[in-house]
Amino acid sequence: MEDSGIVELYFARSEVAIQETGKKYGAYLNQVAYNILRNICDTEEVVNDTYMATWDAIPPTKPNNFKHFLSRITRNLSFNRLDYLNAGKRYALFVEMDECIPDRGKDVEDIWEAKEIGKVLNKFLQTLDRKTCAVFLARYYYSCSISEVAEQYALSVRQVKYLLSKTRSELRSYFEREGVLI
Amino acid sequence: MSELMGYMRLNEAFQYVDDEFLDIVEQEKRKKKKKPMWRIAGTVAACICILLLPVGVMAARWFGLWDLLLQKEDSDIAYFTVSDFFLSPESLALREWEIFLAEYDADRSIFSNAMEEGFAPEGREDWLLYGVYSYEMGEKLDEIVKRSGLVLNNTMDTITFEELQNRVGGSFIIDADIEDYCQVYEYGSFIFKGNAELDNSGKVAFEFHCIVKGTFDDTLSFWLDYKSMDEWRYETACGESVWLALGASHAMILTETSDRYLMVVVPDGREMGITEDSLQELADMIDFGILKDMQLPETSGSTPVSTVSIISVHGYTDSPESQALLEWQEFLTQYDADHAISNALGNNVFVAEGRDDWSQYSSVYSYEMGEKLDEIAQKYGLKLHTAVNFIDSDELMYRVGGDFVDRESISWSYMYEDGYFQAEGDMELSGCGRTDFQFTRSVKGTFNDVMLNIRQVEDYTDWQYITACGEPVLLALGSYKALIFGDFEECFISVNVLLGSEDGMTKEDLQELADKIDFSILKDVQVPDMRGDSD
Repeated sequence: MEDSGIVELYFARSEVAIQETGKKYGAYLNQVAYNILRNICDTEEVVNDTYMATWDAIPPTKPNNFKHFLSRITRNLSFNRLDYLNAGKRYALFVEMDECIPDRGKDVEDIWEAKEIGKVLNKFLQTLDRKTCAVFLARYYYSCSISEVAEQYALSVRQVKYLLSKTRSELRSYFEREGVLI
Repeated sequence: MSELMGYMRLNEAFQYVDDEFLDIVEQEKRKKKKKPMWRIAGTVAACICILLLPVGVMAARWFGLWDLLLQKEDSDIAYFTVSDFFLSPESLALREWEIFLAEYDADRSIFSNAMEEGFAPEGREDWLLYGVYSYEMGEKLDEIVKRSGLVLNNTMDTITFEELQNRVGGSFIIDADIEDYCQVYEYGSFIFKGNAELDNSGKVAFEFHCIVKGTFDDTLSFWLDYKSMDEWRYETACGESVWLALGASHAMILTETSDRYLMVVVPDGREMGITEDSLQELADMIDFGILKDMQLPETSGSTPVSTVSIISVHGYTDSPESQALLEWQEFLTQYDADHAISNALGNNVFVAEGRDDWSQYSSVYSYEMGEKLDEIAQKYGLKLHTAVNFIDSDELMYRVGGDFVDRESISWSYMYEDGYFQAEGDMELSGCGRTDFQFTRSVKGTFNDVMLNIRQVEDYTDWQYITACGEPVLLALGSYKALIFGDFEECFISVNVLLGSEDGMTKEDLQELADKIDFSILKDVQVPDMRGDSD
């Protein structure tokens, strides 16, 4: 079914919407969640929560891109769950990104601030070539492991590490130039 | 903890990444997968005799393997990587020779005898350059070299490094200790050894090889496990683009021109402390530009070139699809010969706004190329592909209209909007066990740029066969590969079987494989339901 049709079902408050979402994007959302959680049970729960959150969000929201709309919810829920499960632990992903934007120690969950940083991030992504952009987001949006990224984009692990390291460094400089507080 | 929270801020920001960038993540994946498994990009010129054997009542006409042949004019490989080198005829021939040497004369009795009695084959002094010490070895060497389309070096001189630099046209390596004597062969190949002091890895020994394409060179003396090496492209201090490869026990620097490979082999790898940085440092010491411009010596004969057989997998040589492919390859031969445009593009991908069809062809990387592609397609009345989906075996069977092969045997596939598909998989054969194959259905009326390297066409025995489903096909069995072709009104089907007679495959095995494919389902092409990639 087309995405627009599924969204219409949500607007009509038909529970078939959830079935159709699962049919079309279930595997994809499972992958998004699993990349972050690396645990099948938690992944299943998060994906189910995604369907519920989508049910609550549509209407009134009418997503432009339904697939990415879902992935954002799944990703958010996955990280929330990860926080809950592993409060205080450090992850490879976190450590890699520390160099770009160390913490100021307060107001960290401020949505407005995240949106503003998101805007700068989008401007930065605009400066990247397509492959680098894909590799960067595969790692930091979809949380794929470095070897998974290498496999997906026909690169060596070494090349991926190099690309990520270079891009993180560029991002840090870009944030500094754009006045993102560090 | 504060660092963790810092990441959390940025991680939140990723929630607001625009959709267009998330789309790129998927699109770039497809580009990677779209590359043909057996892509051999290079120079191709028109050729070949047509031996058509009409068969009245059959839907398809009979033809031979020669009818598919595209002549490779030289060995220029436009998209050259370390892996490509190891699949080159020069490298595959060396592999074959080394496998033979590993098994031959295991107790060294023939060698001892030759040492006592001497071995001086009259008129075959060239054998002695390759360490041959019996007629049996020499004949095997001739066989491998001939089958690979190569020639043997006949003479070798030993000269000083200073003399070599004079011949090359200047000093091309700095800050390295080079051994006094270099070996130079009559076609222009040479080898020397040296040491370099590197910042991160200390003193590192290396061998420098210049191998003229089309010659058989055994000076590499080992077969690297290139599949386990990390490789990446690097622009050296002198501005030349090279490939670097680093493995556990070896490292390499590699580049090429239309007539030679330039290669630095470090007989140490990560285990001995060689790092990416140190390999790059070594590459920076060498001026590959001078080496690329070097004139090869005049020889009594013409400069050898590899004569690899490249075949079309889209139809007879005289079909519009193959003619268009030939013309496209001729264009690629001349276009961007110095790689300036592709080098400027670097790792970026060329994207032409509104021309998704161009992006279906990995060899297009400029507007000029895209326009040429349009021109050729129009000339031969062909369409261009516009969309591709990556699909699993269940979806493949659905889209072609039935189970044309055991669906468990297909591991992955992709399909274009016209029903063209490529699939890879393996199946069990009673005579030779699990057998890998690559499957292509090319739909007539669309341009495709995929070719297939079959090494030497003379190495194949071909015959016509009616499969269990009653469809006529051409079967061809070579030493290292076997092939199945079916030419039908709407499509052309080819199966590249990755086993040959040297691996134990027999004619009966190949016929068994052909019988397991239901060509009757595939020959009538139905427009596929392009409902997206499989999950």
